[in-house]
Amino acid sequence: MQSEKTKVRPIAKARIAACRPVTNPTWQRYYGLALVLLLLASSCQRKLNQHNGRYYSARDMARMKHGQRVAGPSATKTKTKTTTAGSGGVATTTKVVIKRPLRTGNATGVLASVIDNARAYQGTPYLFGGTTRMGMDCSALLQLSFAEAGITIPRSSNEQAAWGDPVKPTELRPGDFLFFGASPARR
Amino acid sequence: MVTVVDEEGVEFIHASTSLGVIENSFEADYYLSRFIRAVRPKL
Repeated sequence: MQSEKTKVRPIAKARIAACRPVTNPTWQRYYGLALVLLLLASSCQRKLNQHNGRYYSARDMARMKHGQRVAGPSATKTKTKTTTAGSGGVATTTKVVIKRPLRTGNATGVLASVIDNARAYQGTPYLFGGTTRMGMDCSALLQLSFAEAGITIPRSSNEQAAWGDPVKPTELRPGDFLFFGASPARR
Repeated sequence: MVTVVDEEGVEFIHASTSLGVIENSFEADYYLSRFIRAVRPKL
């Protein structure tokens, strides 16, 4: 009896196996199509996390790029773009980007630190009467920059304009105050 | 306030009504036409 049972089972298994091929091809075809699409998609993607043929995490890539920015304020920057054509030809375009070096001030002593303080406020929005990083006006920028260097100057533009000696526009030096008015047409 | 004076020209930092605190070239027509006076602060 035992031997008969074991004989029956292989037959049932064979039947199931014989049934399967009926449904298998269509499923397999879609699977193959999906695989091809996936391979195409992955081959089209730019390898974002590759640097010198090695894989780096996004955090490492950001750190490396930041390091490059900090280390080299180079005057020229060369960009090389390589594109592989479908037939296997390689086209290389080299773009040279000339970056204007940041002009360093030729101020000395206290004025150099005053200018540094003022530059630290770059990007602060304009707010009439404002005296904080949330918003400031023209005279507040001067007053805060000097105050941070330990020098007290008047708050209002009118007072600031009378606080020093007049200078010819051709004899300007870093740290001098410039005063502007409305457009010529409105004067 | 003037920040840079060299052979390239004069740069100054200011609080612009539209752009906020920004550094610009003094030689731009826009600023030259509106210029009133320059003052050297007493330090």
